Amino acid sequence: MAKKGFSVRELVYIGLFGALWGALEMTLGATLHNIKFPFTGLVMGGLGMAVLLTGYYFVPKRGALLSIGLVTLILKGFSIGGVVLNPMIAIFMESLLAEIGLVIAGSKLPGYLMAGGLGASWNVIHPFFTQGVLAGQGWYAILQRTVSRGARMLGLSPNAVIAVMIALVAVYFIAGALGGLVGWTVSRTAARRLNSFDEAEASS
Amino acid sequence: MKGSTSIQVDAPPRRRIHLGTRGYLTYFLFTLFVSVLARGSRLFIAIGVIVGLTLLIAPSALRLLRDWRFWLFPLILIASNLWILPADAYFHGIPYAQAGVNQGLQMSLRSIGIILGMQGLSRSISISEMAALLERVSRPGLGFALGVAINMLPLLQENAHNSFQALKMRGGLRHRRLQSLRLLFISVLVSTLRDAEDIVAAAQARAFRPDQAQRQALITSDQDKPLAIGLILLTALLIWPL
Repeated sequence: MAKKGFSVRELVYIGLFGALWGALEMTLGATLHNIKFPFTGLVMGGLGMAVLLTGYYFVPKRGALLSIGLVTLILKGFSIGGVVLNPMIAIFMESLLAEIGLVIAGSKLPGYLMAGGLGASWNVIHPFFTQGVLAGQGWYAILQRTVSRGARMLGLSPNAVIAVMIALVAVYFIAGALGGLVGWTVSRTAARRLNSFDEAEASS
Repeated sequence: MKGSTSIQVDAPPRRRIHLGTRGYLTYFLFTLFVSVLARGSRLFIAIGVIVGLTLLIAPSALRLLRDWRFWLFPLILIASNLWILPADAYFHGIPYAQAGVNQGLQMSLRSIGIILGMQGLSRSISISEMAALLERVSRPGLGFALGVAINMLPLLQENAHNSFQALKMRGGLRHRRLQSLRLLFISVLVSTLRDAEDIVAAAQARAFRPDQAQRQALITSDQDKPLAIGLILLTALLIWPL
């Protein structure tokens, strides 16, 4: 095994979790986008972080989250469907921010919560980047739309722009942190089950 | 010839230009840059160039334009801009903003340019070429991981189906739905992790080492370089001055 690179087992796990996140994006994500489900980013961000951080337990190395994200975005790029560039950008940025979250807060539970929260928070900024910058709609128009939708969801006044934006970031952060918590518990349960399978096989 | 066997292969897609992997990547980057950075009337020219180039390089990507659902997104973009800005004109008595029409049209054109570029790239290069490209720009072994991911998709589907059937037979999601979903996820994950062990064993049995694995060669073409130079010049013409 190379000192800095991934081992064969780790690469297989990166492929597995990339496939898992990619499958979620290609099925549930595409469906929610097509039916114009409100705040799809919130749901998919939380689920994505849960899968991504479950993967980190099995590949606890720097760069693992970004690698899982890269595999996922390529799978998404080759999936059937019209507009795939925006979700691809979101997947990349979510995994990059989650990686940064782990660097900031470490690889224990607080790190999982921070990574999940930061990763999912990208979904608040995402429309500003994709529609505001890439499509050239202008940040003001996106801000208006985001605030009015956010105010409706949170039951706040659309005039309280800063309060709505802070509340939106908080909601997305909490959804991502919940995803991180799910990743933390699920990965440990899955590892225990795997060990019990291995022990049962060894004893038989 | 007597005794010889013949293999009938599908005719390659009709293309006027045959590019290598880097050529298609250059084409995609060109569509992305000019769609985002071209301003005013040059954006219209840029989109015309992208459509023409896609016709030559990846004609199958243009099939997307025949799908009526594709046009919904640009139409929504234009429609949503009609009333964002203050209305200064009327159409059959309905007030709308003329600047909004222009803004919506530009946004639609940008999105069409980027989507065509993405479609052109994904329809022209195979996933193994993408894996080879990934090997070059990231850590060694990521191309292998991508291959594993592709092979994992049907396994995941099967495991998810089996786990869901097992859950359904035990009462499904009627009670404690969140807990049941969590258990379903763990069950799919554990069975897929066990399948992954077989892949690890197979790779190790073949003495596969990611740091020493031979890189898959990229497909190259004589037309890659001239195209890259041409597209760089064209990009400069279309976006300069910003």
